[in-house]
Order: sequence, then structure tokens, then C-alpha cells
Amino acid sequence: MTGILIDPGKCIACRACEVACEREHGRSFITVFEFEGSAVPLNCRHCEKAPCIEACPTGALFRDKDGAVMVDVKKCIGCDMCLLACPFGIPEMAGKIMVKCDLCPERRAEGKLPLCVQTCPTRALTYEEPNEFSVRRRKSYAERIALRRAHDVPQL
Amino acid sequence: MRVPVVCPYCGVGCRLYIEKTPEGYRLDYADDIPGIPNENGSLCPKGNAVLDLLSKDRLKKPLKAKEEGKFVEVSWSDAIKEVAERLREIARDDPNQLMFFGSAKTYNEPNYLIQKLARMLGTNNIDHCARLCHSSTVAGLKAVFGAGAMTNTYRDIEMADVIVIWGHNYAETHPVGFRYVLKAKERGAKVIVVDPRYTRTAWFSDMFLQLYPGTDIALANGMMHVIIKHGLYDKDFVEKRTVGFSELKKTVEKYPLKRVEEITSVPAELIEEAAVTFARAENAVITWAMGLTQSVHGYDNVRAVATLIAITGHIGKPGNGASPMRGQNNVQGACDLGVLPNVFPGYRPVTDPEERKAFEKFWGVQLSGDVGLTTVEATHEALRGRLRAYYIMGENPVISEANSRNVLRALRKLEFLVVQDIFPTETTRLADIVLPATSMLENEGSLTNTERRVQWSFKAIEPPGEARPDWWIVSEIGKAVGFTESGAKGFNYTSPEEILREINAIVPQYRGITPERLKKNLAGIHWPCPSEDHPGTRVLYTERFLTPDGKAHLASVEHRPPAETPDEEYPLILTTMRYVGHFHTLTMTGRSELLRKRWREPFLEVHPNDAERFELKDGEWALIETRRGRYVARVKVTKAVKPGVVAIPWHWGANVLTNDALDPVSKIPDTKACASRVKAISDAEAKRILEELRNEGVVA
Amino acid sequence: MFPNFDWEKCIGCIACVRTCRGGALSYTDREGIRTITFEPGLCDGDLLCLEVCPVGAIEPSPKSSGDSATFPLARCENCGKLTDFTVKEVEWGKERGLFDVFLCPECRRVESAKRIGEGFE
Repeated sequence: MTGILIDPGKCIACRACEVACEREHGRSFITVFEFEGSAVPLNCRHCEKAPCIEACPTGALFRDKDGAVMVDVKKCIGCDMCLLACPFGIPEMAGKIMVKCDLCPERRAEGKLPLCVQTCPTRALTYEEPNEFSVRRRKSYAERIALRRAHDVPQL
Repeated sequence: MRVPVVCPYCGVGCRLYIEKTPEGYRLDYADDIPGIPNENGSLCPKGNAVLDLLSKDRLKKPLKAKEEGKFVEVSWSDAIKEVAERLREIARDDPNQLMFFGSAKTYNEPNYLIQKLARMLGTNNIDHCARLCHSSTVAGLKAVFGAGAMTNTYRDIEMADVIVIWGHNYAETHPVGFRYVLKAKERGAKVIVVDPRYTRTAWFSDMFLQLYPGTDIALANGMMHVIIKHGLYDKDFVEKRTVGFSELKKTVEKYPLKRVEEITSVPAELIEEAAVTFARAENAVITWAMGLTQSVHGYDNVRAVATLIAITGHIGKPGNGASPMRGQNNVQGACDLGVLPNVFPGYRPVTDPEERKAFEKFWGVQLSGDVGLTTVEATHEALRGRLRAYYIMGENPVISEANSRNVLRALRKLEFLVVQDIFPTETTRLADIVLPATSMLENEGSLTNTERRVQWSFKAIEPPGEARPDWWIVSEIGKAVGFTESGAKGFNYTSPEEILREINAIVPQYRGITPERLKKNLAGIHWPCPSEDHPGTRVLYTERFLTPDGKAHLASVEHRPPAETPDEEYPLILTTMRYVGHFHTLTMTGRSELLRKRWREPFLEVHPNDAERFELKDGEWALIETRRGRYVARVKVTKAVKPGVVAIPWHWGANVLTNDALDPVSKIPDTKACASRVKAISDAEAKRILEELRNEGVVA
Repeated sequence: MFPNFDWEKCIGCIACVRTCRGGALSYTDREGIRTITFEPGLCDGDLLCLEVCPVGAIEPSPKSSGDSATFPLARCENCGKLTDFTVKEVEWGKERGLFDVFLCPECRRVESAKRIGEGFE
């Protein structure tokens, strides 16, 4: 399953993700939280075991073929149960129905990245399998602690 | 059809697409063009909001003032006729009574034309906003290396093992470019940040040197003291490729770490660690921006840092170099094309008779050999009544210049003011004639980013009303003044491509950068490019420097304090800063609700100790005063600044406070340091003062 | 058939109010108290309310009378502001293991962002 992964070590709190998301959707479904010395962009985690889906009494919350958690607006009755259930506080009410990040389904259908990921200047947001993310992290760490580089070895 | 354009904002030079749709225009990301500065087509929040430039209050028709601030619409032919007549009349009397402002926010072609117009009218009074930002860099690097531009490219920053970011809030002012630093960090590179504030860039630092504003020379000399004392300088490089080492050694001997710690407040051990790390690095770059340049010692500041780079041999090869980060998307181009009072296009001195002869032959008129006025000097001259007219293209000096109230008074004293812009601004308000220009997305041309990379941006959007491209406006005025010939001897142009070809002919650095090549290669070409089959030059000074003797001239400079230091009356050092979501004087970003709602107002950053001392509360209004003016802002209590230092973003008009004391060589104002005092005021009082300042026309 | 309400079981989540098409069910939130009201004259007997009730507090009954109940609203345990959830809803959430500490959505966002950032460090 693929979701948007956050690397807070790279977030510069520029809010390009917010601006891009709001430009295309009318409101931003990702928010950057800034702390003294770091920042974290936060959107729907599209949890594999989603408390919102479990809490929804009408089945309005469902998972699409990419695994993204989506809202069926025809079934949503605005009962706030998902608001109660989500540990990240993501669902928001827009009038009578719940709205949140939908992982940009039109872009995904064309093989494109979700907007926030596409625009993030520092790749603090990535759209990939979690183990791809981990492999990159491991490689980066290994590179940092490598004892020798090419330029240390005169023969190379 | 997606049209590739270059972002109209900062000097990184990102590429994006704009597509026309039945509903209007759409933005798309250029993730399919290899080699562009913004990998993957990523954009910062401002780039994401470019379509908000299509705002309703764009200037659509030429305007003539009936009284200050009250305009009637006139036709293009009437407006051009009047401008040409006034310029010609004043030039006949004495062309040095004219002042011209080029624009870092428009293409190379109109910039080339406006300096050509000024010079053909007989004056070198032509300058632009680089004066306020990187004029110290242009002069300082020219003195040390022979040319005033970035010596390498962004890729070299990515390849470095140590990156020093000096007086530069990289992550906020060049967010897309900052990725190169993060990529270097992933490989294990060390980042050293030198800044009076704990900025978002400092979040990523391995070493953070929090110095007092205006003490950069002491720090650089202190670092060189350590490097020379421990023999960590590149002896081979110093011997073969530099001059001035023995004098430098004597000078930095007077900067032992204890003294430097006292001046800068940076702990001695940290300075030593930073110096050793930088010197020992295999590959290292230093990037810098306003913190280093906007000082009454800006020229010396840059020379000191350039000297630090030279003695460690971190220049002339990939992964190394001096990286001044230009702010505007075409300030580099404006400089290259001679929008400066002391040089012709290609940085050839106006005082050099050989160079002058070449241009006289090319343009077919006699030219002045006297160095002209810089922008702040022009303000002072206008106040003295010695200037009669200004032609300002794409600049808002009433907000951008230090001690901005002076600009207001100066422009009011003029007989005739022409302002060419895309939106009404605090400066257009004072104009006699306002000329509506197209934004860069609405016309095409070449522009040059920080890396000396020249790119072509295509026309993607239809201009509003009767707005016209800058190159067309200046050409029409040039023709109306009387320079009607085609080719280099006149202004009879039919396209920006024609103008670029003229530039190819007379500017050696741009010789091979033709419109055809640029349109085919969207990733652009780095100058110098001496011929059409030359691929461009990424790394400068691989064999020799551009100084007359080919060597780097090491600079021995001494620390001196800012022009104004704190005293009993004004006990706090005031410095200025930027927000990532806004650009300069808000002419463009201020029209975007997407950006405005996230960056609503300036906050004055105050350390908790000072907040207590002066009874300031977080989120409440404060009155800030300097000897030049007063301003109000709400307080943000934070440890990001040191006790004794306060910081404010200048986008909304804080330059009413700053000091226009000038660096004697670069003529840049001492924007980053002056003496101030702060006190708490009520909401009502703050609103009243803000209203007053707005009515005066000095703040947004 | 009409709905019959077991107000003891009811947690005041108003899912029934939101799904009611006829407007027989309504609610008001005032001064920290939620009042749910059932007006049988407007009920069209579709029993959708019964289907959506998460706690099974509604049963079918051949007759019904007008009815109403009140529920105090809960405060966020971090910022102290009144939320749109009742105290009983919060208790129900805690019993089901949804959370140990009840935070309003805004505080939850800030807290989770903080945790993500700290976890990284």
C-alpha cells in the first residue's frame, strides 16, 4: 500500500504543499505545524487499519484500489463519528459532509504524484512504498558513516 | 498546450508550465525537463501562486496624473510622446539631470534597452535594485576574483563536503535551491550557518555561529587567523594563484579568537571548529546573501569571505566556490547587461576609453565616460534638487530602499517621474506618467539566474487591457526620442529575439547564447559562452582568475562597527528579515490570497529578556522607532534572536526605520543594522499610527 | 413503525438527527448542553435512524410520543474549549479504546505533528 510519507528532517515550513493543495481543492487538506527548530506537514495518513472507517455508521468511508481512504459524499450523513475516532484529528466538516485529503485521485489515475508531494521543494513528502522510504534512509545513513570515500583512496 | 515559463520570483530560476484551459489558466509542474534548477519541477509557495498575478487591479492603460495619485487614462501614443519629449528636452539641457532605473524583475532584452537609452541620451545615471542587495558582491568579488558572479553552480553545492551559509536564510529565501544543501547533508556534508538569528536554515546546521549584525569581518578574519596559524591553508594554491598573502597574514594576526569572540559574541571554540572544518574539507562552498552584503562595509565583508575561500583553495573546481545567492529572477541579467552606472554591458568600465570607443562605434553616438549615480545617491541628489526626471522600470523604491521616507520626498521633488509597472504601487502613486507593462508570464525573453544560467521564458498568458511588454515600451520611447534606426544604432526592434542577437554581438559572455539555442535547450546555458557551439561554463577560474594578473587578490580588511550602534536613546540593534511566502514589496505576492492568509503581517522578533526589560508581550502591538522613522508591529517573543537584537520583516514597509548610510565602494545602504527602541502600545494607538503611515504612502 | 429511544444507551452523537429526512429529529447545542428532540408528527417511519445508531439505542415500536433528552458537551482535555462531542460520546470513545485522553481535533493535529517530529529526532 502506498501513502504519503513525511520526513520531518527535511521540512522547511515553506507551506508550498498547503498552497498547492488549496489552489486545486479550494481548501488545504495538509497543514504544516511549526515548532521551535522543526516543522511537520500533516495530512490524512490513509491508515491501513483506519479508525475512521471502523467508526463510520453508513459505510461512507471506504478504501479505493490504491488503498487511499475516501469519502462517499452520497453516504456521508455528517455524524462526526470519524472526527471522534481519528487520532490525528484530520476529518473536517464542510457543511453537512466530511472532507479530507483524498490523495489526489485524478492525478493518481494519470500516474502522477499527489500535488503536495510533487511540489515539495525538499522532498519532505514522498509517495512511495514504506520500505522504499526505509531503504533510502538506510542507504543515506550508511553513506554518512562510511569510513572511506573514493577521494580518500589515491588509486581510485 | 503547456507553455514552459521561468518563475517570476527569485533567483533560483525554477521552470514551470502554464496551460490555457476553457476556465482560465492552469499551473503544471515541469518534472519532465532534465537539468533545470528545480528538480522534479518542485516549486515553493510563491511559485505555486503565480496565477494570482492575473489579479483584477493590474495596470491596463497608460495613465497621466492630474494631481498626485489621481490619474486619467491616456493613449499609448500620447504617453510615449510626452515621455520622449520630456526626456529629450532635459537631455538637451544636461543629460545628467536624468536618472534611469532598470528592473531585476524583467527580461534581459528590456534591461539592455533601458541602459542603451540612458547612455545614448548622454548619461550613465542608470542603476537598479542590485544596488540595494548584491552590489557589494558585484564589487567585492570583482576586486578579489575579477568578476562579480557566482563561481560555480547549484550542483557544486550538492557535491560539497562543507557548506557555509553566511548571512543567508537559504531555506526561506531560496527554498527550492535549499534542496541541494539537504542532498549534500544526506551524503554526510556538514552545514555551518552564520546568522544573527536562529533561522529555518539554522535548523539544519551542524554548527551555528550566532554573531551580532555587522561583525562579519571580525569573524572571517578570526577564522583566517586560525587557518593560517595552524597551517591549514592551501599553500600550493596560495603561492601559485593568489597575491597579498603576507599582508593578509599580518592583518589577521590582530584577530585572535578572544578578540573575535568579544566583537561577535560567538564562542571561540565554535569559531575554531568552524574554521578547521571549513579548511580541512575536501570540497567546500560558501553561500551568502543580504546578511553579508547589506552593510556599510558590504564591499569589505564580501572581500573577506572571498579571501577565506581563496586561501583554502576552495575555488576553481567542481564542488567548491563562492555562491552569492541573487534574490530576483533576473537581477543577474540586469547586472550582466550593464544596468549599472559604472559599466557598459559585459562589465566593461565606462571610464575605459577603449571600451567606450567600442560602444560608441556600435551604437553610433558619443558616450559619457563619467561614472553615473547609483540609486540611493540619486535619491540624495534629487532631494538636493539636482535631478529633474526619473524613468523607473519595474521597481518600488518607496518600499524597498532603506530610509524610505527620503525616497518619497525625493520623487516628489522631481519635475517628471515615469513609472512602468504591472500593478499600482506606492511608487506609481507619485508618477506623472504610469506605463502598464506585461508580467513576465505575458511576454517572452531571456533571463539569467544566480548560476549565470540564461534561460528563455515563453509567453503563456494574454496580457490584460493594453499592457505591453517592457521591450516594446522602451523601444517606442527610444524611437520617439529620435533613435529611429534599425539595428544597433537605434530602437527599431520588432521582437525580443532581435534584441538578444544584438546582445550576442556586443556582450562577449553572452556571445553564443542565441535565442535559437535557448528555445531548444530549456535548461539554459551558463555564461561565459564565447561561441554558438560552446556548451557554456559551469565552473569559473579553473586555470586563472579574471583579474589583470590572473591571480586572486586577497583582501586585508579591518573590522569596523555598523554606521549606527546602540546607545542610551536607542538601545537595540534592529535587523531585517524575510518570510518565505512573500516577495519583497508585496506588489506581486500581496495580490495572492493563498499567500496573504498564511503570512498576514510582520512580527517583530524580540528575545524574552528584552521583552521583559521593555515590557513587551507576545502578540501585542509595539512601536519601533529609529532616528529616521517609526513603525508598528506585533511582537513575537522568541529565542531566535539574541538579547539586544530585534528583527522585523521588511515587506510591509519597515524600511522607514533603516539606515541609508552607504558603503563607500558599493554604495549599498546599511540595511541590516541600525539602532532602535521599542515600547508597547495599545491596539488603538497602533491602528492610528498605521493609518498615518499608510496615508503618507510609505507602508503597504 | 416509530423509533423508540433508550436515552440511557444514547450517547448524543446525533447520527440519527443527521440522517432523518423528515425533520422529526432535531438538536440544539446551547451553553454546553445538547438537547435532542423527537417530533412524531414529522416522522415518516423509515427507521433510517435505527440503522445508523452506533450504540443500538433505537428500537422499533408501533406507537410513539414526543420525546427529548439533554447531554452535557465535553471539553478538550488540553485546551479546555467546549467541543462538538458530548461527555457520553467521549466516555464511549474511551471504552472502545479510541483514545486515553480526549483532545479536540485541533489539539490532536498539533500533538500528532509534534510526536512525528520528536520521533524523528
